[in-house]
Amino acid sequence: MNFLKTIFGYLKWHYGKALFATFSLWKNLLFFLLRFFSLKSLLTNFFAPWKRLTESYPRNFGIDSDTLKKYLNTFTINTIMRLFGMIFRTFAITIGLICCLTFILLLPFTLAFWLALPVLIIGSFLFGLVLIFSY
Amino acid sequence: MKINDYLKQSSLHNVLTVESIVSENFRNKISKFSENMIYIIIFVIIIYFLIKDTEKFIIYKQAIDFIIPKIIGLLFINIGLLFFSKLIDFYFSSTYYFEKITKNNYSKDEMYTFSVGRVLYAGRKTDILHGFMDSKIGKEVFLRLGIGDEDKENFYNTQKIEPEDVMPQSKGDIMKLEDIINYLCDYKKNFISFLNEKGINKNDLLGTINWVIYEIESEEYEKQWWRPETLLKTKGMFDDWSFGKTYVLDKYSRNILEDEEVNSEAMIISNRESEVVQIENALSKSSGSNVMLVGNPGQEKIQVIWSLCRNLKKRKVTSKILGKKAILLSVNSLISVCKDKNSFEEQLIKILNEVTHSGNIFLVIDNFIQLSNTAKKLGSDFTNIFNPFLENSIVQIIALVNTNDFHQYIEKDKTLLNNFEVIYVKPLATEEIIKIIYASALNTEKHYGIYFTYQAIKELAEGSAYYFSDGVSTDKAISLLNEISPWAKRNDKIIIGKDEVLDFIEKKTNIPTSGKISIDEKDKLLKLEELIQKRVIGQDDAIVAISNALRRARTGVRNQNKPIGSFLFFGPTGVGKTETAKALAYVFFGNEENMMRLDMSEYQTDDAIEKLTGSFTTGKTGIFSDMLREKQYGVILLDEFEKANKDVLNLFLQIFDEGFFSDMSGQKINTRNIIFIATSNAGADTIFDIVNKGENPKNKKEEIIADIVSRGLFKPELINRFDGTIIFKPLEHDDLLKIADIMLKKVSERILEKGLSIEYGDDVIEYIITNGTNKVFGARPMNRFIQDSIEAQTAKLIISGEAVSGRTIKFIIENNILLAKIV
Repeated sequence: MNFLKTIFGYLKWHYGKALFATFSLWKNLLFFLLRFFSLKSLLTNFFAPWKRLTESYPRNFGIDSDTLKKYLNTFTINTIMRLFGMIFRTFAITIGLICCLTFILLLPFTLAFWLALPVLIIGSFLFGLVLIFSY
Repeated sequence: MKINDYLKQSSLHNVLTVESIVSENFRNKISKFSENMIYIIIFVIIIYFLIKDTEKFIIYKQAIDFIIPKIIGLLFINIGLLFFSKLIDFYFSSTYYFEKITKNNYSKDEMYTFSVGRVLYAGRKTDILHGFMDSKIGKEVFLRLGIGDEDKENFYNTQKIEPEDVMPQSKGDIMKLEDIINYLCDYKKNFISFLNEKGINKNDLLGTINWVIYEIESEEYEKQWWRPETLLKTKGMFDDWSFGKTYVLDKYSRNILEDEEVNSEAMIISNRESEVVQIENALSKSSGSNVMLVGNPGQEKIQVIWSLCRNLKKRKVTSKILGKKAILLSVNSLISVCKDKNSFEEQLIKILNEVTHSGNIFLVIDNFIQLSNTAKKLGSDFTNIFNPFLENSIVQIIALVNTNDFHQYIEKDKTLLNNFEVIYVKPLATEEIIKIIYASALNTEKHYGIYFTYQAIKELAEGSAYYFSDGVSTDKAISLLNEISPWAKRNDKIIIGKDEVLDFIEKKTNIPTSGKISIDEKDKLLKLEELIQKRVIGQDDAIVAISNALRRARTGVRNQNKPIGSFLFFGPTGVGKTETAKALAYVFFGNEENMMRLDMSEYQTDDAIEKLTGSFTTGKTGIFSDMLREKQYGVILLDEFEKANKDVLNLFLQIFDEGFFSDMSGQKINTRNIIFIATSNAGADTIFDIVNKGENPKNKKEEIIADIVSRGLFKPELINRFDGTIIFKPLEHDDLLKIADIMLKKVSERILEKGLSIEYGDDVIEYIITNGTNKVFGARPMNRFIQDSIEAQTAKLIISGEAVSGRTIKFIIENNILLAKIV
C-alpha cells in the first residue's frame, strides 16, 4: 500500500509539476537563444549604422561647392555604414531564427521523451535483461 | 501523536520514503557506476565493429556473436540505471528547491519543510533528538560547531530513547528546523547542557543551522542551470553591433558586469535592495539621471553597484538601464597619464563623449573626489566640464564618494550637486556581515581545502570590527577571511575554529586576544601582583586593585566596547605611579616600550584638542591619534591629568565610555585594547596629613576624593568614569630601602657587564635614602643621586685606569662622604 502510494506520488510529480517545469525549461531556453543571438537588439536597431560609426555633417551648411562636397561625403559614408550594419544584421538574424525554429520544433520530441521516460527506463531494463538471458 | 503518524500526514512523506530507499549516496554511486559502464561498453562495441571482419577475429566469431547481445543488454541496463538515478535526483532537487524559492509559501498539506521531514524521518523509530543527530543536516551542524565524532557518539549513546507523544509546536503553519531546535533546547536539557559545556549557546546553534541550510540551498541553486536568471546572464553575441565603441574609455576602465562578485551565486546574500531601488529610480529620471553614492570608505559602495549589476544581468531592472553595461572608470589610471591641464581635460572630454555616443553605458566613477581634486590641482574647471554631460539625458553617471569627502568637498558645490541624486549607503549589521562571510567562507573552503567552524565565522565578523577599527566591517571581515585561509594552509591547520581566528588576529595585531590563554600568560596573570611588586615597592593595595581589573579584562568578562581598563592614580610625586604603569606595560604587554606617555600639562590651551586629534583645516595629524595608529594596544600614561583643558577631559570621558574617538578626518580610532592610567598629584597634602596621623590612606579614600572634588580639582563625574581610583601612599623608610637596593642592583648589573663588580653596605643604602629622597618628590630624585654619586665615581675610576676588568669597587661612607675604593 505504502509502495503504491509512493509510486503514485512520484507519477503525480512526473506528469504534473515536472511536466510543467519541462515547459518552463523549454521556454527559458528559447528566451536564452533569442537573447544569445541578440535578436531584439538586432531588429530594433536594424537600420542603425554599424557600431554607430558615423561622420558628423558640416555645421555651417552653405551652398559653396566645398561644403556640399563634404556634406555628400559624410552622407555617403553614413549610408555605407547603415548598409553595412543591415547586411551583417540580416546575416545574424537569419542564423538566430534558424536556431530558434529548430529549437521550437524540438518541443514535441522533448515532451514525448519526458512522457515516455518512466516507460523507457523500465523498457530499457527489461530489454537489457531479455538480451542478456536470450540464447 | 507518534512521529511516523505525523510524517504520513504530509504530502512530502512519499519523497522522504523514496529518499530512504534510494539515498543520495546510493544514487551517486549508481550514477557514477552506470556512467563508467556505458563508456566501457561503448568502447568495446566500437572495437568489435572495427575488428569484426579481420581474419583473426573470424575464428572466435561464434563465441563473440554470442557475447555481443549480452554486452548490448548490459548497455541498456546501465542506460536505464543512469536515467533512473538522474530522474530521482531531479525529483529530490525539485522538491528541495521549492524550500528555497517558496520558503514561506509551502502548501498547508506539506506541513513541514523538507529539512524537518529528513530529521523526523531519521528519528521515526527513535526520537527527535536521535533523529536530528542521525540526519545529514544534524551531522553537518555538529561538524560546523566543531564537535568531534567521539564526543558526539558518547553523547548519542548515553541518551535514552524517549519517543515523543506530542509533536513540537510550530510558530507558523509549516514546521521549520528552527521549531525543532527550539523544542530540543526547551525539552532536552541534556542536549543544551552538552552544547553549553562546549561553549555553544542556542543562538550559535540556530546560526549554524542557517549556515548549513544556506550551504545546501546554494548547492541546489547552482544545480538549477536552467533558471531564467542564470540563462539570461549570458551576454548577447551581437549586442555590441548597435552601440558605439569606446576606445579611450576602454584604456581606463573595466566592465563591472564581468566581476566575479556579480557572477557568483553565493554573493546574492548581500543584496542591497533598498539602495539598488533608489539608484534605479534616480537613473530613470528624464534628465540629471546621475547618482552620488555616499558611504564609509571601503567596499560597501561598490557592493551596492555589484547588487545593481546582478539585477542588470538578470534583466530585473527598469527599462532605462536594461541592457546597459556598467563601466567602472579607474580614476588612478586616468590621472596617472594626465600630467597637465590640457591632457587631463582632453582625455576626460573624450571619455564623456564616448559614453554619450555609445548609448549602452552607465559610468561608475570610484573615488570621484580624487578626480575632482586632481582637476582643481591642474587648474581645470571640473564642474563646468562635467555639468553639461550630467545635464544630458543620455549620460548616466554613478559617483562613489566617502562620507567625509562628501561633507568636505561636495556639499559646498551646489552646481555639481544639483545634477546628482545623493543616496547614502547604510552600514551592514553584524548578522548581515555573518551571512556574507557564510558565502565567502564556503568559496574559500573549496579553494584552500580547509574547513571553518561556525564559531570561527562569528569571531571573524566580531573580531574584525573589534580589533580593526578603521574601514568597513564587511571588508575587514572578508579580508581577514582571505588572509587567514593561506595562513591556515601554511600551518597545516585544516579545521579553523575560534581559537585559530583569535590566534591569527593576535599574530597580526600583537594584541593579546581573549581566546587561548597560554601557559606562560596564565602564570603571568595569576602572579600579576607578585610580578609588579618586583618593580613597584610599597603600593600593595594599588597593585591588587589593578591586577584584579586586568584579570577580569583578559578572561573576557569585561565590556568589550570600552578600553581594557582606565585607572586614576592619586598620590604624591615619586611614590611609584609611573613605575606601576611601566611595570604593567612590561608584564601585560611584554615590553616597557608599550607604555606611551602624554604630559597633559601640555594640553591646557584651547588648541589642545587639535594637537591631540589633528586639525581639519591645516590637515595636520594629531599626536594622540598618531600614537594610537602606530600602536593599538598598550598602556597610555596621562600624566598630571587634571591640568588638561576641559575639552580634552571631555574627549577622554568619551574614550573611557565608548572605547574610540574620531580623528580630524572623522576616522574612528580604536582604544579598546588600551589601558589608560591617569596620574595626579591632587590631594597629595591630604594624603600626607593622613599618613602623619598614623592612618592608612587606603581606608580614607572617600575622604581624600571628597577633598579633591571640594577643591574643584576634579569633577565627580570625571572620577566616576574611571574603572578604578587608586590612592598611592607616601613611601615609608622600609620601602625606600628596598627601592634603593633595587636601583643599586641594577647599577651593579650594568657595571658587571664591564667586567667589574661593586660592593656596598647598608650604610651606603641609608646614605642614598637620606640624600636622594625628599618629602616633596619621594623616591624620584634617587635615580639622579645614584647617577651623580655611584655611577659618576665608577666612571672616573674606569677612565683613570684604576678599575680594570676583574677588579671590585667598594663603596663606603667616611665622614658622611661617599667614597669608592678599588679592592
